[in-house]
Order: sequence, then C-alpha cells, then structure tokens
Amino acid sequence: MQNLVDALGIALDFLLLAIPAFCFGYPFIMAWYWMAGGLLFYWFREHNAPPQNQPPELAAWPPITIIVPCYNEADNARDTLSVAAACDYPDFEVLAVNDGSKDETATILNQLATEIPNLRVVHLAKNQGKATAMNVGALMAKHEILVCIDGDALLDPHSLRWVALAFQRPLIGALTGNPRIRNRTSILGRLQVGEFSSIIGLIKRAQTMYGRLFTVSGVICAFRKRALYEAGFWSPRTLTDDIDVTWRIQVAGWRVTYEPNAIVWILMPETLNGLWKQRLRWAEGGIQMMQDYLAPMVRGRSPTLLPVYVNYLLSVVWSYCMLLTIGIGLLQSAGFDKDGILPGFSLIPEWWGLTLAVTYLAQALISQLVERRYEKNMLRSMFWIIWYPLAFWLISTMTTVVALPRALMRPRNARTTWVSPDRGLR
Amino acid sequence: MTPWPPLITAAHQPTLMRWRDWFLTLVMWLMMFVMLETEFELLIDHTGEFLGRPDPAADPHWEKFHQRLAPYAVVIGILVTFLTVSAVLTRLRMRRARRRPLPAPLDAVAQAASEGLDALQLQADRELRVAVVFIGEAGEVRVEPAPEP
Repeated sequence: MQNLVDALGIALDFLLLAIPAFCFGYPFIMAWYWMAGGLLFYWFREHNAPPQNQPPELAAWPPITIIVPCYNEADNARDTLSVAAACDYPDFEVLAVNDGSKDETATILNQLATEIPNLRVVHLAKNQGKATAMNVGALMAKHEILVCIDGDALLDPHSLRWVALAFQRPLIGALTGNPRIRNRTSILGRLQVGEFSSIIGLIKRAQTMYGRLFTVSGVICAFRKRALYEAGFWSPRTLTDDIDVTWRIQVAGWRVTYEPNAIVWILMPETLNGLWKQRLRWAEGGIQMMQDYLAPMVRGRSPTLLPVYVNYLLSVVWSYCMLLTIGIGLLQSAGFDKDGILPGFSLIPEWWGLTLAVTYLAQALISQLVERRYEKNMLRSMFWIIWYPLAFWLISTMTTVVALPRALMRPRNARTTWVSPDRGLR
Repeated sequence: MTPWPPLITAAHQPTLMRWRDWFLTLVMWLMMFVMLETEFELLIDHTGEFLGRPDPAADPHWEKFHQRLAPYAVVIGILVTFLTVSAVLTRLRMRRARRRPLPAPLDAVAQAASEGLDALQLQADRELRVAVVFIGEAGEVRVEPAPEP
C-alpha cells in the first residue's frame, strides 16, 4: 500500500513539473518550427517567384470550373459571382450551387445566369448541406480542375493562373489558397488579419515543406477531380468538410500543397459570439478527424501523416493543460495555495509567459515580412497582434476544451447542415 | 464595380469607437513593455548612459536564459533539422515527378457510373445553364432543366 502511495506521489510530482513545462514548451517549440518552415518555404518557393499579379505563362492553360456553394447568400451572391466570372483566365466556367436557400438566392442566381455568360446555376431541390452541394458541383462541373470558394468570398483575378500552374505537378491532388480578411472594422477583425498570416499562413508553409497538410481552407481550395474521385469526394457527415477531404486525398496517395498566390478575400466574424461559434466548429471538426483517423494511424497507414496527427493531438492535450493552469492560477489568486505548493502554475504571465509572448511577436513579425508580397502595409497589422497571445490563445483553448466532449458525444453518422453565414459582422 | 482590394475598413465606424480600439491596444503594448522590464535591461544596459539610466552593475541574466531554454532549444534543433531534410526530400520528389505525364482527367463515364447515371445524359446535363438536382433518400441523383420563369 505504501509503495502505491509513493508511486502516486512520484507521478503527481512529475505531473506538477511536466504540465507547466508542456504548457510553455509546446507553443514555444512549435512557434520556432513554424517560423523555420515559413522561412524555408519563402526560400524555396517565394523569394524568386514573380509578383502575384504577374503569373508565369503556360503553353496551354487547362480549363477550370469554379464551384461556389450558396446557402442564403442573397446579400453576397452578386458580388461573389461577378468577381469570380471576371477572373483573368482563358478558359473557365463558374458553377453556383444553390443548396435550397430560403432567401432570395435562387432568384438572384437565375437573374445572374442571364447576365454572366460563363455562369451556370444548379439548384438543389432540397437543402442538403455543404458537402452534398460540393459533390453535386463536382458532378456537374465540366472540367478536371475544380476551384472551390465560399458564397461570400471574392476571388483575386490572377488566382486561377496560379492554381493551374500548381496542378502542372502530377502528384498534386489538391491545394489550399491564401484567404485574406476583408473586414477590419474592429479589434477582432484586425487581429485575424495578423492571425491568418502569422498562424495559418506559417503553419501551411511549414506543412507544405514537410509534405503533408492538416487541412485546406474550405473558403479557397482546388482539386483535381480524379483525386477527389479516388478519395470518395466530400463526406456529408463531417463538421469541417475541408479537413476531412484533405486527409482522404492524402491517404489516397495524393499530395496537397499551399499556393499563397491563389488569393481570395473573405469575411470573418467580428463579434466574440460569431468567432466563438466558428472556432468551436473548427475545433469539433479537428477532433472528428482525430477519431476518424485513429485506426488508420495506429495501423500504420500513411505513416507520413502521423506527425501531423500527433501535432493536433498534442494541441488538444495542451488546451486541457492550459485549462488546468488557468484554474489553479485562479485558485491561487483567490488565496488558496498560499504556501506555493504549485509553483509552476500562475495566472499572471511571468518569465515563461513573457518569453512565449515575445516568441509569438517574433513569429508574427516574420510572417508579416513574408506576407508583404501579397498585401501592402502588412506590417501595420503588427500593432493589433498584441491581443493575440491573450485573447486568441484563450479562445482556442476554451473552444477545444468544449469541442472534445461535443465531438465525442456526436452520433458518428449524423449529417451536418450549413452553419454559415454567421459572420458576426458589426 | 467592387473596389480592389475589397477591404471593409473602420472608416465608417464612430470616431469614439476607433479611438477606443487604438487606446486599448496601446495600453496592451504598454503593459507588455512594463512586464518585459528585465529583458529590456539587457538592451538598455549597453546604452544606458545615453538614455540617462546608467546601471552597469545590472546582471544580464544570460545564464538564466540559457539554463531554462536549453532543453527546448535541443527539441527545436531536432525538429527543424527534420523539417529541413523533409523539405529537401519533398522538393526532390516533386522535381522527379515533373517528368511523369499528368494524370488522366476523370472521364464522365466513371463519374456517372459512381452516381448511377448515364454518361451521355450527364454530359448533356452539364450543358444546362440552369438545372435542378433532386437527391433521393438513398442518394440517387436526378437532374432536370430548371422551369422557365
């Protein structure tokens, strides 16, 4: 009995040291990893590339279909489809898929079909969810290369050429583009401008250098139809169809890459409520992927995906460790643990927290310097990035903590429905 | 036409709200600088006299930095080496694959068969400007031209 108590004591001592070390170590190590990956990508792919608005010429440009799934997009459909149809590309069609919208979307799309020569419209008789809308889009698309954008996203006129160039590499089955935030009217909006480059952009660069991606961005991604076919197209039961389809394409033996020149301008939530809902769905989708791919990972299928899987797993564990740290920090602030039994836990960022914050600022600075190619005045967003370590890490932690039980309790084969357009715009 | 880039800025927001956002963010930076006082000493000690704060006795704490961060630096070194090797291998693999022909496009026959459709009918459906798609309970797909308005 005494041995058991001793062993438990040793285990507890270890945890009390390991948890604070992990809370600091995981983001600190990964920040340097993302920075290194971002710089490698810049060195290999970006620093000698022509400007985004001057893509290289190709002897024969392959035809492309742009698929735009729409659900209650009456406010945005006209802008989105007009801009997409005006892309600078020799041979393409735009295919709008109206997924049984309840507003005026159907009428607007029918009207646009008479005005825009390269626009086709498909109406789903009943609302089916985004994945089914995408599958119908892929079925009705005339061309092999599919570019998918959201119903409120504005495609950059040069993006299609960069997509076509990327698909000249035979191994590439899918690519993810570069979403850029349109709405910057509040701290949350401006903060996400920095986040998309310093976190999402750097992670995608690093993962492309490694050779495997966690996810394409659903708002701007492109696929070879053959790769989608071999992967089984989009699954109607996943919360985040983009994460799921990325994994299935890679498991099917195709490569996925990041093409930062394929730019799309997007709307993001500018209220805490909107942001919370969006990030919760992302977190649930990630955890759903963890469940779905646990068996293939254990069986050693696609071993090169294992580091990406383990990284996501660690990020979930980190969220729970952070919750514990915050909880103990609150108890300490309330006067408990006066004797300092738990020295590694603190609510106020001390040396470790500050080192982490400074590391993140360095990461943000590197990413803004790299991203200046795609948007002027990127360095201005550095001013707002100071909120990120506080506000966004907290939101990411809490959404993951809430998402895990929700995802685990969710019926495995439940069909998902549309969750946009909750942009939470002010 | 949509202005490009199509940014939605705070220009239409009340001035008070814009100033509030600036002020709060500035306060956050100030708090950060205050908390980083020790670290700034590392930089300031060298130029302290110019800044009117001569303190040559201040300890730069480099030893503390080194001791605390060394284990993490080792892990970072291993991971970055792994990433660099992977990047070179990925690049070589892509370069070698360039010599291979592009994969054949997915033909309508295969795609139609996977949905239980007739390939010729599917190709005809793809020519419709406006179509309505019906999906049955078992997932069967039927395409019809949209009725005239």
